[in-house]
Amino acid sequence: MSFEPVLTKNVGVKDSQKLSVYVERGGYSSLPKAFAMKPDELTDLVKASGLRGRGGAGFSAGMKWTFLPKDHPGPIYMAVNFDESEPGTFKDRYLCDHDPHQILEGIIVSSYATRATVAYIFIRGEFHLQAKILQKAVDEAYEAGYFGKNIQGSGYDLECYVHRGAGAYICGEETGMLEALEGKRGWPRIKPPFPAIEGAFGKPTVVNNVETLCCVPHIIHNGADWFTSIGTEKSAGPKLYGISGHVNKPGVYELPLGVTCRDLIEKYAGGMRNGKKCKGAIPGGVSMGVLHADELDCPLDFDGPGQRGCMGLGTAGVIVMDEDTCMVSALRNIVHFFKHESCGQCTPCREGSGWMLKTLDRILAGEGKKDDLDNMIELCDAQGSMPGKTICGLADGTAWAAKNFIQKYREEFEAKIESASAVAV
Amino acid sequence: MSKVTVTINGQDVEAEAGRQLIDVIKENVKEEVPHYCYHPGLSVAASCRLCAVEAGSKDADGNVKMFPKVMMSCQMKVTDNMVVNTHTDKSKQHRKEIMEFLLINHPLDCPVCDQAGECGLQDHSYNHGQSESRFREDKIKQPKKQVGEKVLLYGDRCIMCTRCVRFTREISGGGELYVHERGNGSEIDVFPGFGVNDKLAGNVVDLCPVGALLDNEFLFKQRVWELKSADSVCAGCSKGCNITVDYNKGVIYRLKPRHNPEVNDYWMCDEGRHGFKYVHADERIKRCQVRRDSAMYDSSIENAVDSAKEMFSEFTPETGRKLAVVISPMASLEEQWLAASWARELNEQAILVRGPVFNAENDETFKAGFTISKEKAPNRRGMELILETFGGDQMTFTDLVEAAGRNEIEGIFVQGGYPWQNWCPDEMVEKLRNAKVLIVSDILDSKLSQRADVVFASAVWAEKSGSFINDQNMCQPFEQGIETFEVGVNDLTVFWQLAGRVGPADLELVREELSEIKNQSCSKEQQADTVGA
Amino acid sequence: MAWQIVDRLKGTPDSADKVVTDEMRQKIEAEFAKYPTKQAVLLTSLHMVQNKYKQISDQAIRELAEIHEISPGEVLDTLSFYDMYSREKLGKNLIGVCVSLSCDICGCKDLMKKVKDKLNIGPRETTEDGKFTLIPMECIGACEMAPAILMNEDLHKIESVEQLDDLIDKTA
Repeated sequence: MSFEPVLTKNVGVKDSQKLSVYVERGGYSSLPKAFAMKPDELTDLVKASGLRGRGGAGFSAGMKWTFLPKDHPGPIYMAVNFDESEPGTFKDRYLCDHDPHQILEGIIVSSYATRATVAYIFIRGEFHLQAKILQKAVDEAYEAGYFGKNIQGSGYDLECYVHRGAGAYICGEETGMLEALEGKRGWPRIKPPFPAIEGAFGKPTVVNNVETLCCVPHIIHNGADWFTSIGTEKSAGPKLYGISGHVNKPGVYELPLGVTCRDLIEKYAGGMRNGKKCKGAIPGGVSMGVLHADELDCPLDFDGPGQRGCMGLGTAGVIVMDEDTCMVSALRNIVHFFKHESCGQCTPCREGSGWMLKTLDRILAGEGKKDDLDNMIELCDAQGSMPGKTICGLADGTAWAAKNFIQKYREEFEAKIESASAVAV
Repeated sequence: MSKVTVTINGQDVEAEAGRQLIDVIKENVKEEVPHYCYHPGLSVAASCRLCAVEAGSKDADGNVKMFPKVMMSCQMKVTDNMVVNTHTDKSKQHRKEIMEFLLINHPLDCPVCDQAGECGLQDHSYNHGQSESRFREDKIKQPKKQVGEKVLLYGDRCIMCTRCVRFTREISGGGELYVHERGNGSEIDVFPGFGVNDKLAGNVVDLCPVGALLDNEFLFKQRVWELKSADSVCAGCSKGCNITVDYNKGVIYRLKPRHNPEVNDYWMCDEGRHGFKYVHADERIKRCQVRRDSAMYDSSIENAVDSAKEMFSEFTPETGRKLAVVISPMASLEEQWLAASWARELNEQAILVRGPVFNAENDETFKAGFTISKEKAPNRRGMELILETFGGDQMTFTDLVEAAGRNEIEGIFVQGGYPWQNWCPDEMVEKLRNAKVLIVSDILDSKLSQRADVVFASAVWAEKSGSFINDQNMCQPFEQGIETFEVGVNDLTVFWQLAGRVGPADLELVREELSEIKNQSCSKEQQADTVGA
Repeated sequence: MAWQIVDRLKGTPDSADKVVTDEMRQKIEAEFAKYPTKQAVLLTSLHMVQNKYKQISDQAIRELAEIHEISPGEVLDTLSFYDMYSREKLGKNLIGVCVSLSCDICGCKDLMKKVKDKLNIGPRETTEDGKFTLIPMECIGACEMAPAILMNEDLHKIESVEQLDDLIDKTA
């Protein structure tokens, strides 16, 4: 069965951002089908489809929706996570650039399924153009009666507001996002209580990634079985793979879940630049760790990278590094990112990220010591290879990335230290 | 509230459902779970990550299933059949790691830090940390900041527990303290010009588990291990916050609040906290004095008492002369009782006078409900109780002054004890001086004591034991801390001897006599623990 | 650092000229209707002030605190957390160079060097004429265009340092 892209089917179409073009190509037609179902039926459909969150955690979207309290007087909020800040990830921005109304359609049907009455789209502050595109699309949708009171005569009301962030990766963490939505610093909250019980402004809130929501209209049109037929057994559906770095055709490719890293690089992204060999590839945003050149046959689904020592698939934002890349510098870049973005609440993340950055800088400056590497690996465990050490998973990202790099490229790190000590007489 | 059974370190413990696990552990087992960001009076942050335990649950057959990861005991609520192990290898290793992280940017300047001796980092490092650190990088340095008139922040020492920030948002409501920036470079700060200057500011210093927030009034004054503590009650207003008096060699260095959930919770106001300067002022009346031939001479207490007795012997009922005794709302309940008893024993028509009560304009209430009372006397209700019990002839202080001005009162005993010198203005003193005999017991030198015939050196609350009845009608005992200038001389002794009782003044005996009339018993059990790290 | 005592008790004086103009205030108040609390609009208000004045001054903080009914400390708490708000005045144009992994391995350091050579400014520094500030940014979500920059609000894929040179000239 050949794979037909659905999420990117409007990419390249003239004026695809316009509502009229979107509707002409079948847009918003999942709404009457959704409204014909009861909200719980729609939730069951999404659950049956096996749709797993596309924001990085990979949790079953339908199951998350069932965590909302039954018979709540409301209001229930839908918080759309458009805070795409994970290095290597740009698929949500791509979706917004080419097909903003698909996002809105996904929001409407998902809000209906969860009985939400207000949807806040939390878009990162640096996406200036996308915020404008999105606001224009929202305005068009309101005018056409897809938002507001009694949508399409269904009796369902939904308001939709675009809320701009202001530059913090941690606001992509669901409770960090809720804090930023409430106008405070984006410090993730302790869980329990979970957002489904006590979320934005103390009310039950559903938090979903943009790409996840875009899948829902297609599931409504084509059914749960169609969705599960794409991808692998535990990782259903089409996925937007982002690939960047040292490849000839960086970009977004919609493929069934489970394509191998090697195929992604060679079959779709035009192969390595300048005829170089691949040294390693980040499988899904820098939090996930790194695949060594020997591990490129790893299937990029929710389980593949985990079987090769990475944290998981994450956002499927692949970064490819060629043979000339200094892995010590690459790791330093990643650790600097986490140190800059750490929110500072939890002791291990706040102190550990700064510590590791200083150690890496010292190694790069030629003053590394022999036990620095083993110390850093122990620090990684102290920060968060095991969840529960910290309130959110940022420290886990730092720990996995650092541990992977040091373990898989040990000789390179050791050589950096030895060459320095050889020079310093 | 329903009860649940929790097994902590193998020991079955009963607790109310929904209580924080960390509190239940603290109250029931001897093994300590160290923490910084948790405070029972504030919301839960769970950010320091130190209070890790291993937890799980026991099913009906007694099979125990533990969670694979460590859990923070401050954010968990106890449920039935919970199983908790506080000192497993995993949790101990976790604590070592956290302590190592906390110390990597810490200046380790204990020799110059006020907090040494009562410092959370010192204590938990010693008990739960490791003796060596693998850190070999440069430490982060932060400037010191004057974040309040009396609050100094040593930024280097801060461990970002955010207790202080939560206090200003939840308890005092000012929201002055905040966290600046994020991550490794975050600091505590205030908006310039909006420092922590409200009357609850000093509490953030108590809350800070390390030497980051410091009280300018106590800065560099004393090492805490040299200090002795007495459990006392603040005499600033009728709220009666429970406090400890920390002193050394007869000098009070600071006051800190004690936990009492019914009175002041964990807090006290700065009026009380910093308002003890008068105890060591030069103007304190240090010795008893007796007037002879228009001059005042220092005197022993026995001599002063004898002189007073002799002077008052002219005021027995047969003489028909009017005698007035002022009962002060600043005095302890036991002193008030003895003063009134002696007065009525001497002359059953002795007039009992209500000492003046000074009020501010309004009560001051803060966000979480802490209220500073406008009534600046610790024991007005004690005074009311005594007057009600004794009945008979009574008048207000202003009436006394007027009556003395008209020469109607010939013998006056004034008990003062107010923390400012001119509580009795000069015109009032002159009117009182019309009396043939004027005897004063006060703490600060003033026109009143200078014009008296006999002056008794009164003790402040920190120099004696006694009880105050606060504005919730709670009788609260307080212990003596420092000594009076003449050891053992205080109002209890004075009235005891005036009444002709033999032997040293017996506080317990007086309390027994009082217990028949008090509406609330006043036992040692009322005292609760000190605010700690 | 540790030997200095910074005085936070003295604030800057209140100014009669309002930072938050009536027009801005109206816009903010229109936003209040969208959220259950006033504080939720704070990020939007801060963006408004930052865009207009290129900084958020003490006066702005005092006014925003009053509008949103929170303390100035709470405004600063939120403001200082995010990268896009600045207490110091930034230049008229912001050159945001992405320094995260994809852009790093695709040559963002050359772009930083180009800016240094051409305008003599390093990270977070502003040119003397106030026209440009160089802001290193963490992943701006444009990895397929690496090395990517945000010139003010516009995303650009930089294919050569000459292209950056031209872009700076065109913007000035």
